[in-house]
Amino acid sequence: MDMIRLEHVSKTFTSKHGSVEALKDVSLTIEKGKIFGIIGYSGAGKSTLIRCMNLLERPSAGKVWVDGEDLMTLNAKQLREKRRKMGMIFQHFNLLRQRNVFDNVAFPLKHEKLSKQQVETKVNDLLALVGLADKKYAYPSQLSGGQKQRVAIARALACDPSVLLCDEATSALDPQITHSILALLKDINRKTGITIVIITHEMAVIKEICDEVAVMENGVIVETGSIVDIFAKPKEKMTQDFVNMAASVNRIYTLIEEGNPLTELKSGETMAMLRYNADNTSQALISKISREYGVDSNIIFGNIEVLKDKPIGSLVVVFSGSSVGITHAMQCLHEKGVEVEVIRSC
Amino acid sequence: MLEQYFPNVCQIAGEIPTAIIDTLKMIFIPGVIAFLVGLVLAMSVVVSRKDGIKPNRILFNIVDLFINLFRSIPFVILIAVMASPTRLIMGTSIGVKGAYPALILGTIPFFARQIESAFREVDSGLIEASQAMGLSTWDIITRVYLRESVPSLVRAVTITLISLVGLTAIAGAIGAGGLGDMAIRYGYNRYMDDVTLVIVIIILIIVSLIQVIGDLIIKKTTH
Repeated sequence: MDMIRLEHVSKTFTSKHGSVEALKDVSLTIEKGKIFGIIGYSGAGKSTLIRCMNLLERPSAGKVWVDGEDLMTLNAKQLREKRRKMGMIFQHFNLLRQRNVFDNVAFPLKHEKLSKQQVETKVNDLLALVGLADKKYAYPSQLSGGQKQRVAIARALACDPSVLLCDEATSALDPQITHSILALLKDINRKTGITIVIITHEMAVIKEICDEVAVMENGVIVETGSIVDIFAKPKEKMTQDFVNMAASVNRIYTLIEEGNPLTELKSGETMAMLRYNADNTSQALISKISREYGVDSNIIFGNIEVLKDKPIGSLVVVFSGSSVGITHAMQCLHEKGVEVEVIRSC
Repeated sequence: MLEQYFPNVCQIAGEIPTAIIDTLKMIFIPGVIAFLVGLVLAMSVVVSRKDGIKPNRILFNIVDLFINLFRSIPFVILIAVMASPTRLIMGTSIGVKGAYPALILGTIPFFARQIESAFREVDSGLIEASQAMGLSTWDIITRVYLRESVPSLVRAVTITLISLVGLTAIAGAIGAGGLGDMAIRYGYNRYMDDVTLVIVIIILIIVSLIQVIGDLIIKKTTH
């Protein structure tokens, strides 16, 4: 079932200096219970897109459906009620500085008609969920970035939302803390079945928790699909860039530029990038080409990930052998579904 | 010894307590009223401005113009301008009572700008988060803007009250009573320098007290 559906959403910002089309005819469906990632460079329009999902930005055209309701048709009061069922967290946490952790989490509960006792129980449960039960009376200024984001998550979940929107929620955090926040989000997704939408510019974030991903560029979604498909068979240039960035295998180009001895080739050798997708990684292809074509493969760089229980990744190898053998070997790999890209040969 | 160094002060000592009370009245009564009006004006400017939570160009322009207009009138001239309306409203244009309208009107724009800058210190991200949480405009005003800017508001009040001390002295110069009036009548017109000195010390104490109490509250309310 669809939780969020955007239909032909466009957003144009007009100012004195002219108008900017932040979103151009974007359509998108996010299924219930999924963790959906939207990746793009800054200025791609992803922040505008997520703000359209709770109408913090009102689209210039198009429809926004959330949980079966067309948000564009709601009046101000109905929209406020709807927003209470949509949590949102931000890059800079946006906590109330003059209130302690408990009051921050209790903040959105004012209109929920709960007794003082119920609020107390609710907030304590939420703080336990995000692992901050001992920081109840601390003020935001006394917390680290990761802890602040945990408070923000607890606050976003206070009204039992069906959707959690995350706008660059880990971009201000270091990798280790990012990992723990993502693990928490995944845990919450499993426990409550909440639909999570994540905006990020880091492929590592997408890789870690998303089920599905959309790649954005210049206000348009250029590619969308399951995370395994996107990583295994990125179609668009932009997607490939992001996949390579995450795989770190692209460092090979830097190494070549720097003239690293690792990248020097002897006569008759060929350096190639092999992209594996889920279906073939488990096959013993390297030893197969060695046996059948007399081609030795020297792996100089590699990166294999497990995504949704499937191995995916790239290897940079140097083939040595007869030129006919190498050609046949590459053809064989290609037939087995491995993408082969010759980087250089000598 | 007191009589040797402060001969005139001893002569008129009886007037000092009344003058202090008059000055305090002229600080705090207009202060409270100007705070309330300034709060409403500042809030309407912040809320109705182009990037505010309820943009409204007409309201913004009117309030903004009002604040700028009255801010640019020098206080002495404002007193002169206000003389007739004051007689109409208060029944008199002299004494402490006669000084209130001018003091209030002279303080409101200053106060409003101070409060406005306190509100604008509230992080715009926090306002956005509040909207995402489904808070109404009124909720955002009371539960976010007002609550989050308490330390800055206290700072605004401290600064404004201290500037009000200065205004009461100017008002005193043209017949409003209080310490300023005494300093002019005795110290300046009759060359009683010792009276001026004592009044300066008293005003210094009042200003310091306002500052110290203000700082204390700011410290207590900042988290």
